[in-house]
Amino acid sequence: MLRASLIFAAVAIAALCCCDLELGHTDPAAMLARVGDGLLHPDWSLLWHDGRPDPAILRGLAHTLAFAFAATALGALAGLLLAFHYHRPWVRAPLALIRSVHELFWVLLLGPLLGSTSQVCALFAIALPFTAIFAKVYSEILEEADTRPLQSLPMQSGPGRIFYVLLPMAWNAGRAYTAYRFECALRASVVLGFVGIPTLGYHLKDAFGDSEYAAAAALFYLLLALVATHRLWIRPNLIPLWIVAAFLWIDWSSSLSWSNLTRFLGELVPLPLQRGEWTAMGPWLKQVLFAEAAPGIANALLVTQVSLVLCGLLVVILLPLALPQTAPRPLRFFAKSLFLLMRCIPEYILAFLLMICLGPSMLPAILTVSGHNAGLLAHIMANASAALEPRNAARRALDRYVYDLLPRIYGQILAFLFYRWETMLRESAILGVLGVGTVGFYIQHNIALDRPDRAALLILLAGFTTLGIDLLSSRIRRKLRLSSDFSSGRCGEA
Amino acid sequence: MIRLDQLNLSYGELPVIRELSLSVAPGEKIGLIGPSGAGKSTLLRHLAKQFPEAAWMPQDLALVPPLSSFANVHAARLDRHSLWRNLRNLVWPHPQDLAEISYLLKDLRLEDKIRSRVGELSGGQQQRVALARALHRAAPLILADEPVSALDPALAEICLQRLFASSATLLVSLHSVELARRHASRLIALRHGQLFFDLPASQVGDAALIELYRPE
Repeated sequence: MLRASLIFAAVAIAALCCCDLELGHTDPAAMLARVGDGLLHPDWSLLWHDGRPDPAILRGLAHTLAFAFAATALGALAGLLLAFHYHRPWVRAPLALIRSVHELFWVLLLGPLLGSTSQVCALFAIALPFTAIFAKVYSEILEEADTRPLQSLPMQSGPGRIFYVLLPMAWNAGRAYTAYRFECALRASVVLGFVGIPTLGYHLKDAFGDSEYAAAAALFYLLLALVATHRLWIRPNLIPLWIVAAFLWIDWSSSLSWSNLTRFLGELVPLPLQRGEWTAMGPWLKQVLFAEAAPGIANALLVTQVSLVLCGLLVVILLPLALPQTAPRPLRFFAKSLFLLMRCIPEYILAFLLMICLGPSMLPAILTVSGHNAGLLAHIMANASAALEPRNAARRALDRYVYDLLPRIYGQILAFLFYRWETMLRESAILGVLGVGTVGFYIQHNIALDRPDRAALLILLAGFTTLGIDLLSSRIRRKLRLSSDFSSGRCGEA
Repeated sequence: MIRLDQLNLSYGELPVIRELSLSVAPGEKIGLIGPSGAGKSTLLRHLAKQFPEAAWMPQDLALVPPLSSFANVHAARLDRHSLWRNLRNLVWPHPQDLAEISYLLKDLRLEDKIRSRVGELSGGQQQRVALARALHRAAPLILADEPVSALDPALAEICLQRLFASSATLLVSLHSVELARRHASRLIALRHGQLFFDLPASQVGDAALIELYRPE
């Protein structure tokens, strides 16, 4: 494990040397001060004026919730049905590809078909990748479920076995994971606002665009509160009601039609082929592969490798602040709040904020990807290691941590990092939409220039890269014998 | 009904059952006794695999904790009802199924727990749910591994009476020799994985039992 860690650290350092870390902004300190001032003095009048909540914001809030509930419900249901067939290669392979494309790209891709700002487009942009992720994780959960009760059931129980043994035995793990996924859906729903879907993110982007930092801060706090407290206001027995309300709220009109579908599919074919100019295919491919895909994917990989190691480093450093074995109560409270904050801010919005302050370079992207994942992992690890009995009576807290606790949990940290590797790549790729030179930048650029054929190929290539990382990660995990049975760790999958 | 001829079973490298031969006629009520580690559970597990149509009550019970006692017991007859009726029973039990199972649970002094989640029941209560499931199966053969080990003597008596009143062929391992002698009609004793004796219950004397449980 140590050798693998050192190899990855060396790769990260090499990658860091290739990274563009320049502060793009001429005066980041002043910018930071302006944003910071906004965060300290939020202007609530945007949310609440004339004694009642602002109707546009209220609608944005409703949309945010509706997409999250409806997409999670659809994804969970479809994912569950697919989970029973997940062992078949022809189910597994397309799902892996769907999973590897980020929700934001799905909006960009489905936009021309369903209407780029239509609510159906937003719903499916979240529900599609969620279905694929649910199918994978549910199938793992079902596989791990204790099926001994089946032996005491009649052989010809048929599908009844599923409802009387499999589903009940997998219920707790499945419920925990679905709850975590809902939190992800909430974040995704907010983020879709940045590409024109009328959720809270839309208003946030507007406020930032107009440099109204105080108003943006109020919105930012609202969505933080939304994500951080969702476990308090979602009562399990009210969930069906929420879902029905979400489906009723969503406007189902879209530009989907047969002619639109054929046109949409036709436009995904490389332009030279559409026109029958076979000789133009060479330059077209050369342009997409070498001028866009290669630098875009390479940059995404650079960001990912640096973030992966930085994330691990952050967790190892921050974790002792949150453990009862090493930290006093007030410090633990502070550290845990910090973790919660780090995981609650949607990655995309964190990157957006950092980019406003630091300018568009890989630095804000790296800080975002490593920070968000470190918050998630530190939170999980703090809960998982709180009950570990100290085996070592060292007087100093740091000694206890380094000589006793850390060696015992390091394998789990590594397992989680490898588990998150592909997610980090997905995140790095989309941050390009904000202006970093990762593949998302080229995808959005092509969409903006109305070249869906190029964007589609780039999305496909990015998806294959993510798949490759996924395979590599599971191979390394197997080689290092890192167990995948850390049930809370699965909640890290995004 | 059951015929074993020179059966050998091992757990990995370790031989557990050695050259065991026995035959069981339909309707026989057999108690399986012997010191811990004699191979009783191994033999029963083997038979449960050989006879998948038998009702099998393993020592670890293998219940479904999130479901109610009713649903756990009803699961034994999933094959006799339509999928629709089975699904309905998870949410709103059919009165007929409910009546039948509550009658059975009443015999086992558990009728007040029919709607309770099994995961919230005590060990003894769970054991009776598993026993009810085995009985509800109405199979021609019931294999039960220590079905009353977690019950107090009075309850153990009541539950064994109910079990041995079944018309099925029974093969029940029991720790308590007293209970075995009183309820079973035939006792099969294992020691070190071999047949120690195989006698009608009335002919099993104290001397043979002392010899059976004699420490090494």
